[in-house]
Amino acid sequence: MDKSKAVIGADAKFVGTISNVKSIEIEGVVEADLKAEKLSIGASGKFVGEVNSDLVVIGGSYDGTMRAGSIWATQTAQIAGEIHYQSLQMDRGAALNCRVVHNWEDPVVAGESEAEEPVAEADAEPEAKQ
Amino acid sequence: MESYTTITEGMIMEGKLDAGQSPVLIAGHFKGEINAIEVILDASGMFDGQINAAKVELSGNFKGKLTTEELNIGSTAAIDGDLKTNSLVIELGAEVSGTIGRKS
Repeated sequence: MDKSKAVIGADAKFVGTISNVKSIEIEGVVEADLKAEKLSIGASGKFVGEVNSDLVVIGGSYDGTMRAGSIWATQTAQIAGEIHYQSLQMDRGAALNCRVVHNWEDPVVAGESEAEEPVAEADAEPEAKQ
Repeated sequence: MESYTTITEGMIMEGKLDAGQSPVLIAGHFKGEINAIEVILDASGMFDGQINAAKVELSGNFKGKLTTEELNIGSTAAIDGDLKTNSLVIELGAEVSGTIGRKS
């Protein structure tokens, strides 16, 4: 019994909303919209709903619209719906029945406008020299 | 090993949880309905809604209705609600208000 790790147990079914969680493991059935840093859907897990996450490991079944940095579909994965990703790994046996979209844009990071400024200055300099 | 369902500190869940044979540990915030074999509300946990379980342990903040065979209220608990149980323990220091009755 570890109370620092969020888990939906193997026999459990949850319908509703989940928020304010960093890392969560789904072994049961969940119908919810989720925003997390890390989501892990276990081999017995089933997730239906929208997901926004940096890292997703799918060993079970997923249906919905997923926006993630990295997605790892293991050999028992079954994915339906739509997945948007920066990097995708698929093991042999993983079943994808979904729309797969590579997200060309850089991930949205807090303080994005600050990061853009130095780039604009760097572009302007060579022009001035010419 | 039993597969626990855990709601960590700071985490918020709202809805209906049918946990079956999976015991539920709440250290975060849950609003809604839980049906489970066992529910443990940690000292940092907050619950608002209805619990139906064989065994319940309350050490956190509880508001709502509860039906259980066996109820254990810890010293850090703050409870306001309608409790129905056949076996009850209240530790010294627990704040309990509401109604207590036998489970029919």
